[in-house]
Amino acid sequence: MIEKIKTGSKILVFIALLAAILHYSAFLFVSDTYIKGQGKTDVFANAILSEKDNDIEVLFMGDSEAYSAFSPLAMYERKGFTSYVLATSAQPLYYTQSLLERTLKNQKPKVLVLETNLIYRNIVASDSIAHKIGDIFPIFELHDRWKSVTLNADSSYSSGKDKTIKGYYFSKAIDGVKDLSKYMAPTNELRPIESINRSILDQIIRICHDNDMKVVFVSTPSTVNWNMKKHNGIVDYVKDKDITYIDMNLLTLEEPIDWQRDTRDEGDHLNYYGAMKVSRYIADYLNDHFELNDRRNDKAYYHWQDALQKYNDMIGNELKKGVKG
Amino acid sequence: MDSYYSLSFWVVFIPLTALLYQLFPRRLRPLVLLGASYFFFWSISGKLIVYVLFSAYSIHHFGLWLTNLQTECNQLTFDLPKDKRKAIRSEYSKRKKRVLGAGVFLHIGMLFVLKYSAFFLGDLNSLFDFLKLSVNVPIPHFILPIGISFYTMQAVAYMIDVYRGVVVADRNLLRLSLYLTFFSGIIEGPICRYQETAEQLWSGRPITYHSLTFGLQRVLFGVFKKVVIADRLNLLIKTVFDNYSFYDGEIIIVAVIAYTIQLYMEFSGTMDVAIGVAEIFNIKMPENFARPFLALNIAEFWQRWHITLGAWFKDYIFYPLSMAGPIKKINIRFRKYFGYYYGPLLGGSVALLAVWLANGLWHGVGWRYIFFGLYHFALIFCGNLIKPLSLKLTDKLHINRQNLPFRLLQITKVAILVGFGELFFRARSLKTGLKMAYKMFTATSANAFFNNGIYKLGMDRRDFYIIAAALLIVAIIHLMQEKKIDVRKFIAQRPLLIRWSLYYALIMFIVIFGAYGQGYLPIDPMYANF
Repeated sequence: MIEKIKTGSKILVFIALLAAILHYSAFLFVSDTYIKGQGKTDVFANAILSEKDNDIEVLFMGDSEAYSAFSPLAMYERKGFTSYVLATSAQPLYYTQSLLERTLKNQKPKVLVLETNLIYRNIVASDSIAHKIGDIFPIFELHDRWKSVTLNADSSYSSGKDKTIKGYYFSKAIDGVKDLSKYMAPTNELRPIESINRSILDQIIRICHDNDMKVVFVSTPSTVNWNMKKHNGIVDYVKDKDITYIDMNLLTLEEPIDWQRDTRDEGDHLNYYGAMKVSRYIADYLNDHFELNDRRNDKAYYHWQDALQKYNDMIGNELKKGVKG
Repeated sequence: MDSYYSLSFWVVFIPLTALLYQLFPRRLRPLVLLGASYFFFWSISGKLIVYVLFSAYSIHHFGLWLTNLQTECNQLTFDLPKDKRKAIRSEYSKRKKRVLGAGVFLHIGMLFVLKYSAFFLGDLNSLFDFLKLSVNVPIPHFILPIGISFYTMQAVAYMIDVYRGVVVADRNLLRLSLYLTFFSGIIEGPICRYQETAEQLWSGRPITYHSLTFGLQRVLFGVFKKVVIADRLNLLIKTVFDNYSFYDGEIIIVAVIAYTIQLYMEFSGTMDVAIGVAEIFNIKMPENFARPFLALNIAEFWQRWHITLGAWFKDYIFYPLSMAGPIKKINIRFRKYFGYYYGPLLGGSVALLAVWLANGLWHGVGWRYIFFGLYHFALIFCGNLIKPLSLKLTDKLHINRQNLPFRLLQITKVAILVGFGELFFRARSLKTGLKMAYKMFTATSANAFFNNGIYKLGMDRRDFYIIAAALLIVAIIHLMQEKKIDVRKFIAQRPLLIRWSLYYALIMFIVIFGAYGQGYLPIDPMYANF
């Protein structure tokens, strides 16, 4: 019996030590200031952690559809409210939840705008568990940083903040849609939301309500990713909830999407020209329907003016270079 | 849960199975393993589990049928005179052959229909098209249950062994089912014989500290090979093989070398995991690899690579064919003309050809796999043909064949020949493989090595450093094993501080330098599709 207890204790000590090594080893790769200041992975999205506390009024979340369509600085220039796109490529909903929870520690946004494409992304239960483990042991997320480790870990990523344009992804590439015949073809059929996705979505909505945030679902224009079945599925989901749903694929916009000019990859994602149309529409909508502050002449928000100046300079320079397909 | 590398396998499946296994009384433990195996199979292949259930049921039935015939024959001939006994035995032998034939036909037929029918019917349609015949055979598309090639071979081996009297037919359907579907061998093998694992699996031996730690160490080494080496190399391999037309011969050579390493690391790594998992449950599975890249010729390579498959082909195809009447006659005739070395060699080549055709087809559906099999047949056959000449030559030149430089030369030769064959294994089609091979011989320069071109294929300089370091670790362990040093025992004898430091170092090496997460595309279990 004593032998068994000894063996059991040995195993437990081994596991405990391993857990400690895994947990603390992350700091070998990046210092604490780096994690707080620049985000871990997905630098553009995570750079919200380096924004001033309680600075952001509107959060945009979603996958590549979101960061291709929403430009916070264009919206700021138009209506003066501050916002941030917390979007990552192929973002699964559990990551949305985790990013939101992390962000709400420092920010008190009034509105969450959720791009709906990620609601239909397949989630494998084990991926969700892996993500939770990744939160406890950041090394699993950070491990690939070994390539960039220098004696001064911060310096190798210090440019992350400067590069970001509040989470928006700029692309001026144009690659028009070849066939629009099936785009939003009418149907009464409905694509149901998977139960695991629905459950996480419910939790996200609850978090928003607990934090006095309004929720807006937006389906940004995409001929590849969006269709009527998905639209009907979202309509069905929001019908009994305090959620506004805007499907820009069905709206008759003042500035309609030109599918030959406003997409960078045959209708999958919008480019800069498409993003500006969406950003202008959404900025007007949010400004009209929610009590958002105009910070354009607020001295406490000078850093936003500064960011806008840099953003406009960057856009101007890029557009001057000409359009590449 | 889709492989031995999925998180749910290690976070939920294995801990839960091990816990239940240990908590249950010994006689019920095999049922825990059987339940877990069926759950594992179902979680990957869903309702296709009916195939493996049917296989287990049918081999149980055929096994008993064969045994009953044998018993009947023994009873009938017990008191009979010799001449009458012979006639009855001959009659029963024929009946047993028919029963065995039906059992084997059923299993191989099922494998053939599910796996190969689309390929052969597709080619038949192409032939009709070529002959301008307006015939079009509809092509069925079946979804393959996981590991069908592996458990079918185990099923056939069991029936033949019962027929030969090597094993006694098992009356316990559940034991036979566990032998066929044990979760640790179902994805990529090793291909076990009934007498190797069935009793062990059914014995319900407890998990011990030794079995747990040694099993986990083996698993760790397998994960290291797969996640650090094979998955990282995938960055380069996928880039080059998917866009081979953009690259010169030297890049294709690099990709072929990388793929050869990847295939070995993935397959042998997965075997380490499979054997390690079984070891946790105190079950010893047969080894499938014995440092194949230390082989001195192709025949030896195949004695060290996928050992259980080679042994299966040897026992169930090569020997029966070699012993068949017509082949025996050919051997006798050839011996007269070509002597005692070349005579049987040429006669036996028919059986060898059948083995390698089967080997090629077993590996996959497509002409490139048949080419792969024939390529290795040609290498082994030619190797045997020139062996006397080679021995004479080295003798005349006073070269000691046991010298390290000579052996290194042979090892390099084997690696090059094997690598060249793997090109066709990985290429999208035989035609693509031939085009890539043509480029290797006609458009190769050293440019990519001088202008850093090899660092622009998905792997940068640091990736290459990691691969080199990891290969060095594997090489050291392999050399120790080749010297018959049991590495795990060697480590277990060190003081606790050194032992644990080594374990932590290996775990952290995998965690930090493993090719997983954002930007990596882990490869699927390569042999799972075979």
